[in-house]
Amino acid sequence: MENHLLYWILGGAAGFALAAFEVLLIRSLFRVPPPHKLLVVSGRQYRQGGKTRGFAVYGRPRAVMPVVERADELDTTCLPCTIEVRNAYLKGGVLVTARWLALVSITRDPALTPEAVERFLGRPLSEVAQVATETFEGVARGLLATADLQEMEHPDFTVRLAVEAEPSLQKMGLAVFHVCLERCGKEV
Amino acid sequence: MEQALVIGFALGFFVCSTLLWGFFILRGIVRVPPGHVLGVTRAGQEDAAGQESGRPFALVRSGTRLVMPFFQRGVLYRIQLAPISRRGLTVTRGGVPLLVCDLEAEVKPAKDADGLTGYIQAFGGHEAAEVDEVVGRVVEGCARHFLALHPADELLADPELAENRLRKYLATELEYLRIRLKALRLTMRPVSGTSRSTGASEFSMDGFRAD
Repeated sequence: MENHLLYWILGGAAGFALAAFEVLLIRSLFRVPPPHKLLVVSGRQYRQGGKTRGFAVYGRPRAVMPVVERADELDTTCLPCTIEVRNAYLKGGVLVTARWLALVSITRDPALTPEAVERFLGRPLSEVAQVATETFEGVARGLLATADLQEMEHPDFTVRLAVEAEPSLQKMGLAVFHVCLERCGKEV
Repeated sequence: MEQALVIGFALGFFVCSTLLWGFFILRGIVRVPPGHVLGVTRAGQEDAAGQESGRPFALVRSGTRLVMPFFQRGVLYRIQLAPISRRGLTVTRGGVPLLVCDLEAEVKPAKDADGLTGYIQAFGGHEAAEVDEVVGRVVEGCARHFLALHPADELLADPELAENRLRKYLATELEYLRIRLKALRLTMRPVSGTSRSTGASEFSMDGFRAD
């Protein structure tokens, strides 16, 4: 009787272990990104969008081979970037300080997302925002040098800023949502 | 002996499996509270080039939904934005202060599925306060831009028309962010003598001084 009980317990424990292993296996096999993130699977060669790369980007659940493949998440939400240009020269040598708010995100455009994966995967969002801010600052300084006071305050200037910065940001897999001038002041 | 082992194994597997799946399924039942939307990532199709097509996630606006454990992922997103209130905004053009404005706006995320999808993808992972702050800054910036474009006399002569035009402009700008403008109230007054002198800053949008 005692022997039988031991076998019952042993069998039960093995059953428990198998069920737990089954759940763990499914959990590690299947990766699901939250709606505001993308899933980046790497470890093999993947063909996506007509190109073969060492990673693939998905916005949907994906089976991942344990050990062979690795899954990471890439946040694609908006990042507010405060672009502050201090002591910039306007046309005519006027010294100004200006501040814009730009909303930038990692693009979900399948053609451009690989650029963002190569640059920003595993990096904190603050770093992405910093790169975008610095890009904007450079473009803003260049544009300010060609504008006067009235032009600088005009909404067209902000549109130009967004348009000029966009190609550089796109090369990094970033998209511009919105740019607006917040403050500006003349240095005395 | 063998029989006991097999029956024990089967029973152990059955009990553990039932308990685990039961636990995860119960945990996957999500009730959508008012002012929130549940985004559920689901499986979809791919085209010949390996690109995904169609909306990547389902939206549940109310009621209760079972999010399949391990195969789906559900996240609750807040779709309420705090009212925006800005008092004493100074609008300038070409260095000259034009107006002092009080601005109040009510904004909400887009209602249609595509718009709401865009809103979630843009602001989904952020804290509520952070989203409110960003939207407030956008509304303020757009309002300054719009008001700076028009002559102060024209704006003050017909405040209702100015408010309507600002409403249209803001609605268009906020649409890019998948946000809709519900209500707007704008009050304007001419700049008083004291607010014309802004200290060291010769021209400023709100008395901002570069240091």
